[in-house]
Amino acid sequence: MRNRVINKILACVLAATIVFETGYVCYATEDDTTTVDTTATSSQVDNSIAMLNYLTVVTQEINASSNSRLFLEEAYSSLINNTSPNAIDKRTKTQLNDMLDTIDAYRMVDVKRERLQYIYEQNQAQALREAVPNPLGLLASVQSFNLRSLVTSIVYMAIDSKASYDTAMAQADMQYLQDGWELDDAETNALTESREQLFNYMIDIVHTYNIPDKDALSEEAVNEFVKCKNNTNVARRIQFLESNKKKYENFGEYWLLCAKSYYEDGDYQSCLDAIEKYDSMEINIFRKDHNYADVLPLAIASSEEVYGAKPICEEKIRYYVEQLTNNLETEDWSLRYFAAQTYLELYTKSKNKADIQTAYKLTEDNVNYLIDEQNTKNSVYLNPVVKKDVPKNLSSAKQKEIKQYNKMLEETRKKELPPVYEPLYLNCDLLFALADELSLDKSAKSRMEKILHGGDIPLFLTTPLDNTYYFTNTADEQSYEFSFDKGELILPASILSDRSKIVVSITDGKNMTTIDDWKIDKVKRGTEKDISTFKATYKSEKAKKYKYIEGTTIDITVVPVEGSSCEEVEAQFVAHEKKFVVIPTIEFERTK
Amino acid sequence: MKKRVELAWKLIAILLAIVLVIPGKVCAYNSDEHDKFLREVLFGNTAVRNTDVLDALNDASAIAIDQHNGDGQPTLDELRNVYKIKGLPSSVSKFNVGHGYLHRNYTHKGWNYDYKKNDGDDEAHWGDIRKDILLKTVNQSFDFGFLSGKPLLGYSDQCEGLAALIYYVHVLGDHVANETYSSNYEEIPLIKGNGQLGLIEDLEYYSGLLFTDHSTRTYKSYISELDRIKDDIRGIYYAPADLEDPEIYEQYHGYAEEIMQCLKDYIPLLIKKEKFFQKVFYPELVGK
Repeated sequence: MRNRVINKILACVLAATIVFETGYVCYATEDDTTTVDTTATSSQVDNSIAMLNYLTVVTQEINASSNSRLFLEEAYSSLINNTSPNAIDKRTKTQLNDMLDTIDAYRMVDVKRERLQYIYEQNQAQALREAVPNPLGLLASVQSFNLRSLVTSIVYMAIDSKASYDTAMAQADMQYLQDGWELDDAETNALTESREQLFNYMIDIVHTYNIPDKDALSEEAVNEFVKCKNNTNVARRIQFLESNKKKYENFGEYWLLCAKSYYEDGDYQSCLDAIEKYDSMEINIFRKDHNYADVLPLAIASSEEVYGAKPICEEKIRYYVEQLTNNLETEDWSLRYFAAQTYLELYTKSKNKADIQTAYKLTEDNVNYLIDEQNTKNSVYLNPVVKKDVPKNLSSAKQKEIKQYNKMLEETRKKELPPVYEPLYLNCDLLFALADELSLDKSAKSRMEKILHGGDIPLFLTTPLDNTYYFTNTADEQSYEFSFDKGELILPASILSDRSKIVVSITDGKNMTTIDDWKIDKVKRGTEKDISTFKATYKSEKAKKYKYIEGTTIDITVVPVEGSSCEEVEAQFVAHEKKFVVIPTIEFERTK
Repeated sequence: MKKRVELAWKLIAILLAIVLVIPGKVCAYNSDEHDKFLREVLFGNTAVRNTDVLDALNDASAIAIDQHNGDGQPTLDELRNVYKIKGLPSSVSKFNVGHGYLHRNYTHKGWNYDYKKNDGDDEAHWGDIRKDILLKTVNQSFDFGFLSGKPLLGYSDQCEGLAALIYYVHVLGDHVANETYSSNYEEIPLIKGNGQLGLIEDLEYYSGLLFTDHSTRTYKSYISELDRIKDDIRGIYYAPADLEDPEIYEQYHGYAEEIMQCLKDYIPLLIKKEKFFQKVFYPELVGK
């Protein structure tokens, strides 16, 4: 009896032990991918998919670009400034942050990035000026000037193309700046890895939220899309886009690419249709939709082509230019300039002065923003070179970049002339032309002059250019000190810029020779911060070899900023023969 | 009839005794689930390319943290003979602990918990043997530099950081598994409360050692998320007695799941950027 009881107790105790040991606290479910509810709303889920599609395409574009680091800069800037953080759910935000961290690690050092951006903007401003040399050309309704002329410089100037940085003025810079435009293998692999991570994550949320497969792009679809985008053959590009409409129609970038491609092909109606389709999608992942803003100039130009003189043309253009200004950040000066020009175009249709006033306001905003960059450049120019520190925690490649940059600073300083920030003076020209058109009153003019000239140093260190931007110029005519000696010309730096042109005409009796091969040899800086003491020396082989005789007249014309409306500076010298003991010499006397 | 019933009970008793006595792979808790958690925390949805190293980490974690009642010898042998981890004890008997399902009270109280000082005895040899099994495995699976693990020098910060992370993923897995409260379990609580140690606080500290760049958005966001969960838990928990309320415990348990999800979301992104981890699992990312 006792044995029976003991055996029963023993069996029960052992059974209980086993149950507690293995079964009671074991995790029953197999599903360990159960995600915690993030309380993502339906629109957040839609936006998350849109963001993921966008990110996967952008990272593939970076990898596909031959100057991938330049493209990466643009992508980073767009993502960091533009994405709407609350539009997407928390977990997608984590993925976005990781992508930003990855891209951030591969950016250029800041000084190189800023210098390249400056050169790009200089080129862009010049291209805009060449497209519409007269800032009010559209008002004059001259046939050769229309909004289409401006579109190329704004929409089609690729950020990652070397051509966008080619400039005669920045040749010295480019030696130091053009290295490292391509990501190395490890960096490319890291972006690829991050992109694959995004695809895996996208599959996860497609399943979690039961999203239709076609809303999320596959890796293959992304690769094909980017390949299509990079195809320079527009007919083939359109062929691909039309054949794959079903695959991409829920992806906003598809419609923007269609718009650009149709525009290039001259099919303006289809361009408008594509933009309307994008409009109807209500993409909400960006604070300001930069990609949409970039394409709106095409919509505006296409509207002109499609609707011509019909009343609907004005209506369409007005709608698109409002969309454009609603999606601009302060630094989007080139698109804002285009918007200002568009309002001039609207004025030709509406004859409503309010349109010119809007153009003026937009230009004023541009000027107000661009002044800071000019002031910074002026300050750097007037002060001694300040080399950038080389932090020890940077990679060796980035340390090398900074050292190269510091070397570039020293080299360029030897011949450096006062800087002229092209976007600013482009907008100043438009501003003053509009001020005239509007017949601004005294107080408005005074206010504008304070904006332009209210700083401690002149707006432009190039005095003739600076003098151009006063409504009432009360400055006395200045005389500038010139020195000429055969092949050498010494001028004050304050009448020069990196876009100066010097033409010398030499007259001997009836013969006149033009000497235009003047090259900057050096800039001697007298007292730092005082530009009036800076002297620039130009040299010319042709002028050096010329046979001067008694009475030879040398007429010097200095164009302070080529292409601008600022006054030229002139001087004249006459050659006199002298004898030093028995050796004949030529001396030059300034006569004007 | 009576004899048959008696015989039946005897057979049951013998059968059960056999099951308990024969040592098997450590499984105080479903080790497959622990392995899955660790894989998801370290790799997310990405495929694992070097499964040997991951398997070694899983084995070391199981042995160090969950070995009890004499089991785990095959796992220890596998670590030594298959994954070539040196310096391991020859037998589980050197650090074995009994107590069945209460084995956690001897190994789950915190990475740096001093059992000798606080509980009078380190019965499971957590401080002198078990921790070292995990540290040695981590140290020998990755390259933390020549000096890491050398006598008197200790292990590098990143080695310790990763070992601690692996430990806390395991303990957190047990928190997730505890769907109802039991006062018998003395795992380290999710936050310090009025105690010495807290799981989130330790995770934050050891993450700081494991991840070298604290300035990235992802890292800041990760710590911010842990802080947020910690603050939320503070609203319901101060001491273990608070968890006796089923409603409070339900919330507490929910936070354990949130911490696990936070690790799954962030750790794969962060750890992939560490050189030592890249060399083993992502060699194509190793730059010049």
